Amino acid sequence: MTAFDDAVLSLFPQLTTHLKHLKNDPLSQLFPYDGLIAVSAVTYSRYTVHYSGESKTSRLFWSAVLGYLAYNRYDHWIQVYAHVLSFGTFLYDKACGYYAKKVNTYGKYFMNRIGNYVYSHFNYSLK
Amino acid sequence: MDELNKQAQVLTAIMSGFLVIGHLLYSISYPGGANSFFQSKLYIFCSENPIISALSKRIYGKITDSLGYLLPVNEFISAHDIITEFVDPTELYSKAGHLLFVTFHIQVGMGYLGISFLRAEQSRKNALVEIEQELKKANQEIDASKANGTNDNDRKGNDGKNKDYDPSINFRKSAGPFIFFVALPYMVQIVFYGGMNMYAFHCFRDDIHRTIRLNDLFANDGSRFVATATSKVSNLSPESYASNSETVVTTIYDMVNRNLFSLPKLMLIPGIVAKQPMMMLKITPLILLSDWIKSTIVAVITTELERVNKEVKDVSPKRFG
Repeated sequence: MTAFDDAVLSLFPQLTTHLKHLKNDPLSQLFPYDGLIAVSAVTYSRYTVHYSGESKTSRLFWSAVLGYLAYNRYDHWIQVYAHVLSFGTFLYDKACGYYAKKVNTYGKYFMNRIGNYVYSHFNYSLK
Repeated sequence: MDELNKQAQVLTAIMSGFLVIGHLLYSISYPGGANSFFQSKLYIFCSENPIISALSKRIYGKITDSLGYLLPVNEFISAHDIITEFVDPTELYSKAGHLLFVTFHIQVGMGYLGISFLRAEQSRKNALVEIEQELKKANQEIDASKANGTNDNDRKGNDGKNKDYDPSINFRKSAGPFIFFVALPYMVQIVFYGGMNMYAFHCFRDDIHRTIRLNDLFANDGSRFVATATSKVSNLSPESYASNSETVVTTIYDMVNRNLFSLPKLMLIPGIVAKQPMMMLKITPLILLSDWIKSTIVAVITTELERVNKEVKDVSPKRFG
């Protein structure tokens, strides 16, 4: 039974929660493996959370960029900013759509006003 | 040319927005930095102006009060004050900030994964309903052909078709791919990333425990150790303080963790309301009612449990002298 227990437990890595047990590990500064955890979390999040129509290449590319920033321990604000920037294409498309709609709406309104003006003048001239 | 102008305008607006976001993020990270917004003349003018300052304080107070209805903000502040009694704030902020960064990314990612899994599961349930409809349709066709009195050959053909025809075949065939390509990856990701998130939290929690129980106790010539040992007000051991701090940290973290996991699902609500306003109007009272019933039952059971626990403690044997 003990052998079985050992066999099962050997499948799992021995993890410590104390930083002093990890010596000369550049990826552990705040707590054990914090760098590796951050890289995994960031790449996973960027690959999973995506806008509709985003290609797999784009997701992989941005995951790699964010993973690189996390691995090299850039400031959190830079990483968050890069994450926001990675959705730039989506925001640009949305803004273009909104702008076109707005311009069209104003355009229609403007054309209607002109049409009414011309029509009323036409009616007036007929009288 | 006009189209190009429009695109240039949109691009300018987007770039300006990104620059503002970047500057704000930098300013929040380094409020004392020379290029920070909080060191700008505009901000200093606004903060020194009594009218604007009073107005902004009032708005801030109102926002905090409103947030208090959603999250126990005051309890969060009390927990922060308790922990900073023992742990160096600079160290605490850097560790807590990194933990929050990791938790946010993992929980939001898992939340999105949960949504896509729910969608896949729902489409499978819909396929099950479609089978029943197809079966009904097929039966109706048979009944109609029998009623019309089709010839023997046609009937044979129909019977032959009916024998082979199985409306559930596609559904059954898709069970394997659903398990191996949807359910299993979902399960593996939830287990792996959930475990990793918990590991990061346990590192943080144990660090605070060690700081309170060991490091801080013997720092500064052991002044806190002496104070704890000679205290006449409380007879709690350092272990008790450390264990209670764990409870505080775990409770606060669980609240944040749960809310972050729910964030992607909550973000779907505006879209649903916009698409199906009447459905939301019908469902919301039902949800609130069921929630109220559930919380009332839980409150009754919890109160009774506490009463019984207190009674057990009161009647437990005590040794005097």
